[in-house]
Amino acid sequence: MALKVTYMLRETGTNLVRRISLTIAAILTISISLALFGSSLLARDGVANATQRWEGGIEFVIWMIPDADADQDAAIRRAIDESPAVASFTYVNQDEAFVEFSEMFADSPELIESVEASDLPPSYRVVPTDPDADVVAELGRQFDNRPGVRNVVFASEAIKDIQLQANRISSGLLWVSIALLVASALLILNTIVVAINARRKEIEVMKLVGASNWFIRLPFMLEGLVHGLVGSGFAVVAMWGVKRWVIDGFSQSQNLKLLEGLRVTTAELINRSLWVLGIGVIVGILGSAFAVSTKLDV
Amino acid sequence: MIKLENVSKNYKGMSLPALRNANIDIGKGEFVFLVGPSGSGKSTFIRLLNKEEEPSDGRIFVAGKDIGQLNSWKVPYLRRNIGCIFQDFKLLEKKTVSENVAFALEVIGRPKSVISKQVPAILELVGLADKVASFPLQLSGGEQQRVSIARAFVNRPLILLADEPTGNLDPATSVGIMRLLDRINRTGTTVVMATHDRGIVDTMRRRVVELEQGAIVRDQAQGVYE
Repeated sequence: MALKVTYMLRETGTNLVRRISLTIAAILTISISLALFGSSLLARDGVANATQRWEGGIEFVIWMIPDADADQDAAIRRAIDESPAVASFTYVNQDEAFVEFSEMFADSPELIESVEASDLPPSYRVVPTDPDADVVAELGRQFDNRPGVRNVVFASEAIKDIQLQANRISSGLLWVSIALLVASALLILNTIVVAINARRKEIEVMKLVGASNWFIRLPFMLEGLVHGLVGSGFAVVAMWGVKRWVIDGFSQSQNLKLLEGLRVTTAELINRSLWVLGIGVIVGILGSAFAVSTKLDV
Repeated sequence: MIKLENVSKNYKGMSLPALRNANIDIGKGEFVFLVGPSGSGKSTFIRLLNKEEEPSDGRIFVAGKDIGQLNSWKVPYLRRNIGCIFQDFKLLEKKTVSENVAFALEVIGRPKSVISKQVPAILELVGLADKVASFPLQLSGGEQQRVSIARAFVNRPLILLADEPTGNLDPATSVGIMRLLDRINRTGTTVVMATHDRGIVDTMRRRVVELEQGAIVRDQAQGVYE
């Protein structure tokens, strides 16, 4: 068994080193495609975090004062409920507001520690029947200055634009990265085919002396796996760089106030990194498995 | 040890069958020469036994097992009981003599301790103890065929199939190779050898099976080439 493992590792290593230029090409392609793929996911996460309050057609938020009494709250709720111009609304209480705040500032635990649920205002998030800017403004103004209301905040056109453009950009990136991933799988496939052809005589001898089919196939499968794993490893490093220097840079910028809320938590980054590693492994295995099943006649 | 029952083999695009309704029974420890002109079906006969080819018709038994019924994952285990040697040796040029032989054991998962014992022993048997570190291209044809025999026999198979093993060798070297095969046969290994070498067949006087256009036309104990 030990010999088999040593043999497999040695053969896989030999395959990788023998055609080093192809190995580098395969790993670079998969790195670049997965880095784009991962970055587009991070951009989505960042924009989703920045515009979290405005998802699902929410056009304005009625912020209550944290110590508004029950009568004041009931009056506002009744007014929203009874308004024919309101399609739906969500009430976010102080505990829920704290959860949202904690998620948004997950990377700043000192900030979370300095705040308690009772400090945060509850809010009504309103989806009007008509998203027309004038209608929304008129509707929102009806709640301003009411007892218990701190203020009414509207989804600005800029936020909607950011949401739209960022989604377009990340969708574009996603498609480009998917096309590159297909190219990576094909490149891995061809690299493995070259490896199989270069070792045709060896494979013939292995078959003749009774090596099992998996014994013959496995070094080639492992080669594809290494391409996928190393490539996705580089992509993950790139994604951490994108978070550190691009996304965090935007959120800390004093000149780009609109992008202030753009942030990706470490948990989200780890989640996306695992996705990228998983996809890298799958692409590597699929590319090599296809090569082995079509070109390796065992 | 080997039994063919009404075995035929047709290749796509060929008008005549490569093997036609062949029936033969080869016992354990026998030495059989397959003779006949080029294209008579000798190589097909050998490839069928090793399951490199599937018969179009009929059944083939090796060591009592119908190999047509074997699952593809069991074929390697069949091949571990069948050693093969060829006219072109099929040695790996980038491996030394010792590594070529060890390779046959390594790829079937034999432990290192077994490999380190069996490889020098078999190289001693084939008379190449002093060439272990040489590469195939540094050896003569006869020596290369000895390495090929060592590789085929290192796992002590029940059957040794030889397809024109002396086809590329001069008569004197061929005699040496035949002595080696004879020695292996005396250990109880069944040897089936396809050959064109009249001198060898006539000298050894073993069972001769003659093929002509895919049909067995003669099966003679202690026979001669024709």
